[in-house]
Amino acid sequence: MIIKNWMREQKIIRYSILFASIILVLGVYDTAHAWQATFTPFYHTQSFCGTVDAGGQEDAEVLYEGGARHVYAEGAYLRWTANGIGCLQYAMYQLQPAAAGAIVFHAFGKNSTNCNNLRWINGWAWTNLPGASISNEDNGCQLRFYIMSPNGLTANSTYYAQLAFNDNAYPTAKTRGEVTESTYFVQLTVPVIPIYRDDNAKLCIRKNVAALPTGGLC
Amino acid sequence: MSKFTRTPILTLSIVAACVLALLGLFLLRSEESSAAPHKGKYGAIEFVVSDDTNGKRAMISYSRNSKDDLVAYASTNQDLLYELVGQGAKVITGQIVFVRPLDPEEFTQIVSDYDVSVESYVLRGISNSGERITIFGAPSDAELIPSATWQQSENILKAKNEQTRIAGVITVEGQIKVANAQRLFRDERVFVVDVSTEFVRRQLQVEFEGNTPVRVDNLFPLYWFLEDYGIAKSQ
Repeated sequence: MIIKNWMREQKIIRYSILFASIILVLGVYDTAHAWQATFTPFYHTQSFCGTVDAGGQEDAEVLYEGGARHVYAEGAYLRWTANGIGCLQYAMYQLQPAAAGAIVFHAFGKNSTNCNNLRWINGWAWTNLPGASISNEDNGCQLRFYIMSPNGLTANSTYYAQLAFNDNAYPTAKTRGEVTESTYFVQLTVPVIPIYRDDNAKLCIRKNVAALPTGGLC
Repeated sequence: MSKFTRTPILTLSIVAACVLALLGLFLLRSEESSAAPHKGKYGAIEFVVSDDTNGKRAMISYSRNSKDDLVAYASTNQDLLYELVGQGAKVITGQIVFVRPLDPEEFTQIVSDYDVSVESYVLRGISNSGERITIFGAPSDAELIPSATWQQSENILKAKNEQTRIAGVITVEGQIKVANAQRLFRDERVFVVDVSTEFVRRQLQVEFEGNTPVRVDNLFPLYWFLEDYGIAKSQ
């Protein structure tokens, strides 16, 4: 009887620890992924047929992890209409030379188009874009997510792309800057120069948080 | 007019024509080498070279219209590896493309078995609806697949879709000894050791006599097309 009670107590303890661990993990997860700033809806500076459709959202947050200062950013609810997909398909499969659509993140200095100390962390990028590949430009100030299989896009389905930047100035300084999100059309023979660039969103990177711009400025 | 007065004019005209022709040729050549992209082809692999702010940049492409195209691409890569051996290459940068996702243990083992110095890799995530998610990763100083990266990826993917799981590593890029690259071609888990960027980079460095920085990109995600044609299975 004593052994039976002891076993029951042990079982309760084990389940309690497991349950507490789950709550702890969920709590940490929730803390880690509560975006500090959300920019929606997207705007368009040079709309073209293959640009991402309205409804997109850019998210960002500043996190201190393992002695480093990281800026996470996400393009969420990225959508293309049937016409937009048709345009991307034409560019990839019919156009000579071929061109690809891309969702592009830039880390700039505050209210500037120059690179600053925020650089893409190699190994931190996720996406459900079909046939996704990436290229790191400007020494990590810019990361492009290419849609290399536009046949895999479904009209009005939602797509996302995520990445993280490291602050190379930290801990000496906390870099203030901005992370922009744009849609590109890039000719695959001259990948450096986009044919079209449509700016879609901008979030400001402040001392300890990401924030919305005011009147378009950080 | 006597022939004595005509001759110097004729000579001058010929010299002027030659100078103009040489000048034209020079201008044409400089235009070709600096502005107009030029193309190259090795078997199933094509590339275009254009100017970059830092030097030259080449883009590799290949046909992806059928299963046979992808097999031809792998075969060309095998030929290029032999060429690299013939050129005396000892260590190359290559991308190993698997035929199925490898879990972390198997991935660690293959990296160790073939002595690959890993620079980056790609993981495949799969949602319950079969949607493919691509995760780009790289080793940390201490871990081949940093546990924080894996955990973070899982959390983020699950935030999007609770049923999403990470199937494993589908491609890995790094430095490999050519002898090990040849062995990898015979490993049944490997579809191809893609050496196209290494081969083209070396060719262009010879062409530009090593004076111009050359970057070679291959943006076509082979594993994705292998899945499309049923050669690779991730589900």
